[in-house]
Amino acid sequence: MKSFLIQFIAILVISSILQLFLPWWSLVVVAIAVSFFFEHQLRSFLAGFLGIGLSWFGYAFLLSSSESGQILASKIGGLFGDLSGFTLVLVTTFLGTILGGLGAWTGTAGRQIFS
Amino acid sequence: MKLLRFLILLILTFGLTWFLNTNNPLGTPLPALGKLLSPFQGVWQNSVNENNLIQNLKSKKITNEEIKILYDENLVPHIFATNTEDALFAQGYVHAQHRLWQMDITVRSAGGELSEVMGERTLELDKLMRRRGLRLSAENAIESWKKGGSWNTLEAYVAGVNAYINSLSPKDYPIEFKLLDYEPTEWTPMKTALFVRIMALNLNFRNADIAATNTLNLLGQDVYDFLFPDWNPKQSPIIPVGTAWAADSVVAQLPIDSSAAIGTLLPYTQQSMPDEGIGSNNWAVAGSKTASGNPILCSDPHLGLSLPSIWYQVQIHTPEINAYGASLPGVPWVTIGFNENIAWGQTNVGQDLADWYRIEWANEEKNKYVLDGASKDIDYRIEEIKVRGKSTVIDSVKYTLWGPIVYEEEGSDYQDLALRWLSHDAPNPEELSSFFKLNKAKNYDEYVQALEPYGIPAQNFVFASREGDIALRVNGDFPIKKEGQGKFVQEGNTSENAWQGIIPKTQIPAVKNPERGFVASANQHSTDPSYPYYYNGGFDDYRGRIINRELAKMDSVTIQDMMNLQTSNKSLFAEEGLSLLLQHLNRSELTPVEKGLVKILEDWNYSFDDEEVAPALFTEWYEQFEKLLWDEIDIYRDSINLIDIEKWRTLQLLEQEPLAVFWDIKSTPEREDRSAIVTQSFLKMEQKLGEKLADKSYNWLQHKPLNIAHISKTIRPFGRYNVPAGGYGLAPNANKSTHGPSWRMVVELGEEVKAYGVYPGGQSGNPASPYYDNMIDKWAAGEYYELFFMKDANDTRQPILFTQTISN
Repeated sequence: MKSFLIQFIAILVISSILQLFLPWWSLVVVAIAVSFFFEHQLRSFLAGFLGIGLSWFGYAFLLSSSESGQILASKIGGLFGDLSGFTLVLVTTFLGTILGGLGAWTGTAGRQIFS
Repeated sequence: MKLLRFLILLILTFGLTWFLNTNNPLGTPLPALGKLLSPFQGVWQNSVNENNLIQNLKSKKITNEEIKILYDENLVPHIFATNTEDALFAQGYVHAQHRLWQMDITVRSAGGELSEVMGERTLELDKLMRRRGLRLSAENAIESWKKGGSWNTLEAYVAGVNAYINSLSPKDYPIEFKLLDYEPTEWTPMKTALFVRIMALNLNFRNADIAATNTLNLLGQDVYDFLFPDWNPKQSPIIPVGTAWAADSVVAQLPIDSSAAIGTLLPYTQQSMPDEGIGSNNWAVAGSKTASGNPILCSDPHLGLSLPSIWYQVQIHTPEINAYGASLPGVPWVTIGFNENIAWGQTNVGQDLADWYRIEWANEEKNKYVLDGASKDIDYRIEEIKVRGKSTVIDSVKYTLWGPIVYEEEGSDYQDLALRWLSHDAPNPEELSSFFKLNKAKNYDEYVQALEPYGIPAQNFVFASREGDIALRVNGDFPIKKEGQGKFVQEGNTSENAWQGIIPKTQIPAVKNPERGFVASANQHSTDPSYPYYYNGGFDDYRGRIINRELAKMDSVTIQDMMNLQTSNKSLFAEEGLSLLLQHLNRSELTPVEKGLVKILEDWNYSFDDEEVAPALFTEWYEQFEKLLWDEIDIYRDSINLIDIEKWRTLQLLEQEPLAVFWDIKSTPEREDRSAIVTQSFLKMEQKLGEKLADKSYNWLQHKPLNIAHISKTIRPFGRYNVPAGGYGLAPNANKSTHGPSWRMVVELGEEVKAYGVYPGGQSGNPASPYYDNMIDKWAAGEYYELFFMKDANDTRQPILFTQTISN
């Protein structure tokens, strides 16, 4: 449990910091790299899933709640066939969770080769 | 096994990442979803940009004095600087800050560089712009401007734009850059020149030479002259009849040339033309006619309506300038506005400034052409058009002394046409100083001096001063033409068909303080036929007349009277046209329902208000009427390009020519008269609108909705649709379906200048901003904001949202 928390927090914090100034896909690299130090595949997947998912959900939700955030979310949602602002937040989250989960699992699968 | 599992996962992870980072991955219509939706770097960040403007910018490009920019409640920046260059630096900065993508895409369009980011689908558009010589025109402008005294002002402006661009990291890029997946590039003086030249294209390029030549050759000279007389006897020209022309006017010693039109039909469809909806109103009323005794000036330019808006309000304050008004992002200075002493505005001129010449080739290779008996070499200009995702396209454009050969066709009967467009010419080197001087002008003489070097694009400049003068100058570079020259395609093998020079600024149509107490223009004829120089073109016949009529009637004019006139939906075309139609309608066999429609029309006050249904009935009736009337000409339109008979002439025929052959409908055995056409078209109108009219609430708003789309025309959620603004192209409130008054301004020049304005959009180009379209509702309702013309940086008469500073 403790290792899960460490992995989850590490992925969340490090990826969030790096994404502030690196391209968006740096989160994938973080998920893989961090997870290389952890051995349990399912837990890794969950750590990545939740770590990235939470950071993306949190930030997107925060940004969508200002006045201009609401306008933005509904207009961009409109581009994808009339999605509401909140649905757009969920779509964003979904992308983050998948990438985070897959990336983390990959990292651990890599570690597994050596154990 | 473990290795295999790892490799599979690795491939899946990278594959998915690649998919989400690529536009149209594997041929799907999806954008790069991961890039776009990343909360840290993608479009989510654009909700932050809006509220996160840099408060204190540092730049080495300005003097040691601090520049202050105060934003009012409409996000209008009020720039306070100690010198001109710093002020323009700040203007460049705020233009970029709020409208960077708009500036980028407009200039790409002008320069034929859309395909670099949009791919193959814009290739034909880019080719057309290049062939029309936009880039050459801009290059000639730059070369000239560099020689003049105001080049430094443009450089300061450019530096300001770049200061903003250089402050951006990818997460800060405007939304459209992210959606279209490309990056902003540095601004240059060339880009400003391209912007000015594409305005020139939109304003001064309309021509109908090819269609007119076909019409002439199809119908013959007599019928052509019958259908297309040069002068509308009801016209009320911009410069009042009876105004004396400049004493040293050159009276036409020039040989009168009967049409030098070429005698064959041309297979080309006229190229896409800038829209007809581009016109405008402006006027100024002298103190003798106003309630306050102060002159009042009004200007409302009509352009394509889009979001972000074409105009951007700004105030520029330095020790020698205090100007406020609408500016164009990409170009320095206030373009339509006022200062503490004067006000000014522009409308478009209708003069034809683009003529076509048929090239006679001297050899089979078509690289030498004949001019005055001699053989001349073609000049090649290589245009390289980058295409995203494909290899660069090279278009080799042939240039003659006339201009570029825009039309070139293989085949035994080819007709290669060169374009002579005034905007290609190198402008006066001091042209760059025109708006600088206008922004700081204090009186009539300084206004005339400011406009002296101004040539492209030609405009009607209205003027009023606190001192009490009102004036209007049809100001620009106009070719000296022979009688009839320019209406048709001419032979390009003789320089006798060339323009004879440019009309000197001392001889352009102009008026100052006329007896009638007002000056006005709404794109109608600049002058009556007594003006010594010949010109042709496309002119309004209805807005100018009603504005002149109303202003002549007015007394004790107030600001509200001016606003009412600017937003008036009443059309003289409806007044005259409907009366005639009703007069010749045969009512003997109308059903009760039809009689009901007639009653609606008879009760109508000719005002194109959204709630009324009469405007829909009338416009549809007239359209059907024209179709039946001109059937014998319309049958040719499928195969060849022809011009349209003007509305004023059609109505004149209805009124005065009952025996004209055109009333007869060719496809029927009977011989119809005008009453039959009027009646049949009425019934056709009823047929066409029948279903819609069954709904009693059908009205003008539903019939002709006004849509303000995003500039891209494809990003639908960024536009505003069905805007309830009323109006009609031939009424002062000239709203069509995508064109209309893009800025409305009313200025009273008293001890203290009071000004009111509004435009259908907002200061911010960020679709996420509440300031993206916040002014549309007020504009649609015909209301105005009181403009905050700050006296100094401590003026608190209106709230200031926040302050920015730029320091060294």
